[in-house]
Amino acid sequence: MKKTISISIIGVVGIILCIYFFEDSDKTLPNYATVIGTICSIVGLSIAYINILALKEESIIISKQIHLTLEKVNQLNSLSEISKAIKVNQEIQEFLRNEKIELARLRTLDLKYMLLHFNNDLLLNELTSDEEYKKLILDFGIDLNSLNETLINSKRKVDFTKVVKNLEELSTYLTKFELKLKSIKI
Amino acid sequence: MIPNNISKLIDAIINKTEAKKAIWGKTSRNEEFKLFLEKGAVTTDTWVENGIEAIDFAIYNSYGDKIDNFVAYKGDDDFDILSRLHNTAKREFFKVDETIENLFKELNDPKSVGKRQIEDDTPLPF
Repeated sequence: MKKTISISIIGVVGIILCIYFFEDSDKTLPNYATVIGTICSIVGLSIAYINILALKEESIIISKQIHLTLEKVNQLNSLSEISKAIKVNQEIQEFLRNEKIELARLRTLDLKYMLLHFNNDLLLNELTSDEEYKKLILDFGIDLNSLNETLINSKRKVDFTKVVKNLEELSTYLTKFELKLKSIKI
Repeated sequence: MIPNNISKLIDAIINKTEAKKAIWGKTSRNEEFKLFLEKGAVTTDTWVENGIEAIDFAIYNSYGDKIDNFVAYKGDDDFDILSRLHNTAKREFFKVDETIENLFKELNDPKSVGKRQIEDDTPLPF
């Protein structure tokens, strides 16, 4: 706004000076119109250019704000997903302790979906690319497969205590995810 | 029938294990062993089905999905190679060779071996 007013004032001063220094022979209505028109056009273009620059800066600030807000929303969403995954993990453990294999299997599929989602979460990239987590995911996959096959072929026994132990280790690692996300200040 | 590339993979795993360069772990099944690799894992399990011994070999990707599985029953052509893999994995997991070697070392040593166990309810001699 200040820049616009300054340019306008400069324009007015420019017009006055131009007209003031005119030769007497040049002091005609068409010449006045030409000078006023030219200076007004220059002032107008300058004001438009300055406004465009200001808008550009504003749009950059707005897009940064949108990005930050989106990151914050994603962070909150991830935190809620992790809490949900820990809860589902506990439910599976409970089902296994009570030998409710079919229910445990169903919840295990839900948990697997959530774990795959974490793999694509950029905020958790450092933790999901860790060797320990990769091993936990593999163990989880092997256990999920064992539970599936136990339902089809009861001859192939699974030690549920070992599966629960693996799930507990996974739950501990998921808690690390939660702490990591909470520690990120956006 | 196990395809040629899988057969070669099993041979490579057996060779690596026999060279003491593969560390096997145990899964939640009693007789199933797992080997973690950079891009996934393999497992081998044995069980008895209708009185017939069965062995399997499974391949998992890095997301824990089982991407391939081969089962052989005693008498099948593939049983021998899968059985060899399972035995090699089992021997590595339980460190059979190292244990036998240590037993030999201990027995060849001049100092006495074994410990006398005193029962808790043995009356004191005084």
